[in-house]
Amino acid sequence: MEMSRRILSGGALVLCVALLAVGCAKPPQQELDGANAAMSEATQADAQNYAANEYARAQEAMNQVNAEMEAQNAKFALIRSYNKTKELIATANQAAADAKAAAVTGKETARNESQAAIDAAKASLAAAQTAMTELEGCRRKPKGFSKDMEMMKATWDGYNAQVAELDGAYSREDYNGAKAQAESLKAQADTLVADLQAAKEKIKC
Amino acid sequence: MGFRRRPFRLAVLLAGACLTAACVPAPDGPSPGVRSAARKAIVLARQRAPEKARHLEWLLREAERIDAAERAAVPWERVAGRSAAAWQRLTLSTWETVVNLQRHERDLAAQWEAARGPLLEELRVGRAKLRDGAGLGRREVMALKRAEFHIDLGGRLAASGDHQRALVAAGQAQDFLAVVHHGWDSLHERFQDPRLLRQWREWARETIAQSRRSADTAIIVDKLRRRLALYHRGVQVASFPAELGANGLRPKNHAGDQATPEGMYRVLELKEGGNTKYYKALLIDYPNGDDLQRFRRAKQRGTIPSRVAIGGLIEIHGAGGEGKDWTDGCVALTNSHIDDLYGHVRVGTPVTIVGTL
Repeated sequence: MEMSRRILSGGALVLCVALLAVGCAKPPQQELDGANAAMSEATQADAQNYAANEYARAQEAMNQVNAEMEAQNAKFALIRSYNKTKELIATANQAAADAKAAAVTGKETARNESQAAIDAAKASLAAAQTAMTELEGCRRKPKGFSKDMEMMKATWDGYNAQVAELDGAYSREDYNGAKAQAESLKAQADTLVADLQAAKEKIKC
Repeated sequence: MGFRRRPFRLAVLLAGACLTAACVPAPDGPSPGVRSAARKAIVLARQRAPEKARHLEWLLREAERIDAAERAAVPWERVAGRSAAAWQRLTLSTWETVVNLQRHERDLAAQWEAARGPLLEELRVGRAKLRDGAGLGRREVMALKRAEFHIDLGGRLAASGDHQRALVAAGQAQDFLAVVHHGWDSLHERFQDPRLLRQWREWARETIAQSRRSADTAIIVDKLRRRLALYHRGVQVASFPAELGANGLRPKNHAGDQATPEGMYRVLELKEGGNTKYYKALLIDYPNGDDLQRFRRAKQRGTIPSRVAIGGLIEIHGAGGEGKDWTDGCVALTNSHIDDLYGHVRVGTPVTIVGTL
């Protein structure tokens, strides 16, 4: 009687230990670290600026992962389940990867467009400088020509002084700001070129 | 036996009833669109109001955390309405943020519209000052062009909806326009100097008195008003619009500065035909004694370059009518006006050039 009770107690104890060992689900820490790393990469790729919507979606997905993880961790060990957490982690991983890819593309596009606009503005300024040189070389110089040329040169200098500002914006990776400035500068420089051409035609250079 | 089982069954039923009453169903989750609305608001707020964006992000995280905790909790440990309240707080804050951002954008747009008109008017005034400011130079021109650039940039930014940056550009334009206004004010300061005004008026009185005494003609040029007045026997008989040197409003310091001199001079020579390229010309005896003294003092002080000469060949001549100050320091009239003047002057006629009267 005493022996059978001991055997029963021992068996129950072993069964409990086995249940505990098998029943306690482990949190998917490795997968979570992977998702955090993916978010970090998206942040470093400047996704907040160049893929704002995709970044917000990825953040939302991570919020859900963290919330679910916390909720499961708060439960009694035997009744925890991380299956949903793992699904959410997979979604968050994908969202972070999408955000990073969109940011890389978006930033590259913004950089290229900005560079193209800056190059166009500088080309217009160079054209204006050429037109000024040609005008100065004209034989016929009307009254007040030297003062007018001085004003044209000062105009060109004024526009050229803006190049440093837009180069600065480009260096700071403010590509949209640099592009807007470059477009404005090109418009002003083109007007100057047109004025110089008109002056040349007027004096029949 | 029945007596012992019945209380047990009653106790179990009672416990079951209590548990059922204490059980809260799992939360339904947020209403459709709450998350995406919050996400869009966060994206909007990040640029314009980062603090608001961070607050919304925190509310969203909290709502997710509470929702997940409520779902995972055992039914009798759940708190009724806790998850719904968290989503409700997020929804309200999202709505508030969006409304405030829209209001802020409308305010910025209104500020831009309010600033634009006066800024364009200030630009127009700046351009007029450059046209009229014979003495404003490279610095003011550069400043005006940079102001024009920033006004154009502001317009483009406003058109694309970025009113915040447009207002920054407007502020920068105003700073550059201030350089033009300051240059103009500095140039015109001397025309309000009581000491100079006294001197100029004294010269004019002397010239008119001389014309009266000699019963002859005399010329007085008012630089600020751009007028040349002809006197005969001390009475003004004619007045003509005059064009000055390209830096004509400045006092003449040396050759090549394109300033029109101020002082009491006389006609040295009358030129016409092949002797002048300006139709007709009256050469005056600049530099006079005062000019030479001033020039030497300036050289000693080092306020003018050591290699420059004092200049000369200042005339009153024709070929004017350009509508601007353009000469190298001379006073230009139209050909018709120089014709009117020419017949009334001779070698020795007094010519007094003043800043203003």
